[in-house]
Amino acid sequence: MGTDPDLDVDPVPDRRSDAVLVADAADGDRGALRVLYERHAPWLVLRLGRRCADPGLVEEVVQDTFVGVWRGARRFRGEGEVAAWIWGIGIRRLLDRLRSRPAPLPTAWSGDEVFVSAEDEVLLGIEHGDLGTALHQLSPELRAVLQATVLDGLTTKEAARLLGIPQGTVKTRMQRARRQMREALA
Amino acid sequence: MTTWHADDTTLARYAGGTIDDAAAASIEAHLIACEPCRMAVSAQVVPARLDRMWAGVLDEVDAPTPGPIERGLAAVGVRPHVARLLAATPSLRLSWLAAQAVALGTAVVAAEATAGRGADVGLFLFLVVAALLPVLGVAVAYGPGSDPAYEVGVAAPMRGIRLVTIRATAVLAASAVLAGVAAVAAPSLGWIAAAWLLPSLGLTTATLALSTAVRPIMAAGAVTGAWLIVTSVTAVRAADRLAAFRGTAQVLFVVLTFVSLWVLTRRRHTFERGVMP
Amino acid sequence: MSVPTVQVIGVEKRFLRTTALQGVTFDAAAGITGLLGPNGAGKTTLLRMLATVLAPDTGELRLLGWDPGNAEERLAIRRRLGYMPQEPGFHRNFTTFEFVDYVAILKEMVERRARHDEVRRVLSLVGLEDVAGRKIKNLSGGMRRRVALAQALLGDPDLLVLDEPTAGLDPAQRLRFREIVSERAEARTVILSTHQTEDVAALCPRVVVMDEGRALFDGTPAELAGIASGRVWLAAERAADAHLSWRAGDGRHRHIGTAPSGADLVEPTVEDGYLLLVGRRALEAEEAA
Repeated sequence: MGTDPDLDVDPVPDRRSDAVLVADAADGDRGALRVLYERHAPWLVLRLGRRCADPGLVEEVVQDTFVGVWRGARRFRGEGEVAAWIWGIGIRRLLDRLRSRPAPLPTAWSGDEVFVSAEDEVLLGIEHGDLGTALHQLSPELRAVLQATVLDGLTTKEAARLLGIPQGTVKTRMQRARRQMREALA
Repeated sequence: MTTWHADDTTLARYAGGTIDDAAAASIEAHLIACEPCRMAVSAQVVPARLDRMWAGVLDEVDAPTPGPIERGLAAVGVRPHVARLLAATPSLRLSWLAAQAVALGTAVVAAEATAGRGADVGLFLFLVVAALLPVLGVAVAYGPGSDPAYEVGVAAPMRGIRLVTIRATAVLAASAVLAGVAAVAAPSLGWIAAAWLLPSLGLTTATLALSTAVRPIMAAGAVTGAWLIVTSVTAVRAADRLAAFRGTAQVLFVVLTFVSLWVLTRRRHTFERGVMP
Repeated sequence: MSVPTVQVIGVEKRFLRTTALQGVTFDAAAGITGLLGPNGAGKTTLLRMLATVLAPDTGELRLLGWDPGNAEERLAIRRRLGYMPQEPGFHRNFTTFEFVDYVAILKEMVERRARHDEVRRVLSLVGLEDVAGRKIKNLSGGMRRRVALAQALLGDPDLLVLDEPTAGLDPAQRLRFREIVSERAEARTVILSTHQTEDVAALCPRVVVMDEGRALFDGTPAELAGIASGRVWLAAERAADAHLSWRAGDGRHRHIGTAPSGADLVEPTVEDGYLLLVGRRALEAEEAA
């Protein structure tokens, strides 16, 4: 339960669930939006930063996202994680921005190899194991396409815009990526 | 979901961009579902950066989203803060404008229906109504009866005459546009359909001038009454029903406008003090 | 007394059928001055004059050193003034932010970014920043009063005129209101009206008691209580010839008037002094409140 706005009460950490916060924000509760921001803005900044190397653009997109959360709060039906819904808004805002202003991709997505430590492999052993290894065997371009469509939930068209490549290329790379993954995991 | 959580080192490397794609993908998928890890990773973002973005969010969230009227006004070149003042005017709201449109629409239909029969009844009706609508709009554009924040407005530095003028001009313009559209929609009326313009200007300025002495609603009532009497009398007594709109009469309305504006200017200080309802 | 920022000299005001003010004279300086009086005492009329909304029929006013009767000086006063009317009205569909933003425009804050920052500042002063986006018609009565107070605080005015700011609020809300107002009163002049003596006792170092268009008393709350010194007593039975009496909390009767010898005298409160001055009408109004 929220605090009674008519009484002067010391701030208590807000215990409302994300879904309740969204519902309250839909009712015009700015405090609810603030809590959602505190909970979700940080990871959103980091995640978007790994898809777009322009930090200023990332900040604008995060701002736009939470304005979008505020204005679209009524449309959230309570299905699934609020974080996933926020990501959906955020990545699409990024795509909208990229439409008018193409931005640099982060190095990990543009083809330069990133050093993989043995440590990472051990840490991820529980989660990925073969999957992680298989993923590493893909070229960066194929990996990027896979992550855009599978992890970020983008359509072919949206992935094309994010990566700055034609839609047809996205499709062929997806097919190749899937084939290679299947072969690696077989 | 497993009980796997990312530790701080991993999260730091994720934030720093020194982690490989597979691990990053794993973390990102995990963060969607794990609140404690989201909290943990929030320490990886500079607070100043978060505050700056929040200030930007607030600015957009608080800024009242301009309604269609305000956007229309902005398109015409009205400055945003003036448009905000107008947004608080009851007679510029969609419901009011819709009512005016209906009144004009009815008049146009009547005019069309009786056109060409020499009786000119419909045209007469249209002209009378079109000239009167801004008067009614101005009556509720300001003043203690219709402005809920009237007292606060009087006590504010903005000069009363300025607020009144801004609103009255907007009401007049809005009514003129509506009536203009209606006139164009009834081509059988001919050029005389514009004959309401000067009368409406005269009547509206007369209402404003009168409201330096009495309350706006009373001023509007007096002007409306006088107008209806004058038009009815001339329609009955003169051979030409539209006598009130012909050449000489138009000149009289120009004179009325100037006289009203002169009175308004001389007595503008009356808007500086409050009129108690 | 320090330099007066508000001077009211022999002010009179007559309406169609009533005389609202009959020659009121007093001064106010920085700090909080309370206007205490029953309904119809003329408090609202006087406050409207202090807010430059009404002009007196006769008499003089000097606000912050300027004369509100002069157009240019009146403008100067209004630029340093904040006014909270008795019946604050709001436009039907406005949100909290939109309404305060609208008043800010009336207060000549033309530049959007600075104006919005100022609106947010006053909203957080009164603790309403979380409902900035909510429509005013959906706010509780106490919160609406705070919106009205917020718009009065725009521009950090030197003169704050508040008409019955605590009317209709419950004790917790009233306490909060007093805190906000007393914080603001540091170097500014606050004039507020009320018909609740406890507001005055808790908040106002100076009190002016008004009734029927006249100022009956001008001094500190302690002095007001002192008027009733030796004239307040308790008794088991009601005494018929007392000026005023009512049933106290413990079942005994509290009397104000000329005490009979041997009566059980008690320390007078601010309320006692007020009632002694103003009489039966005020008592009935207090009981009804």
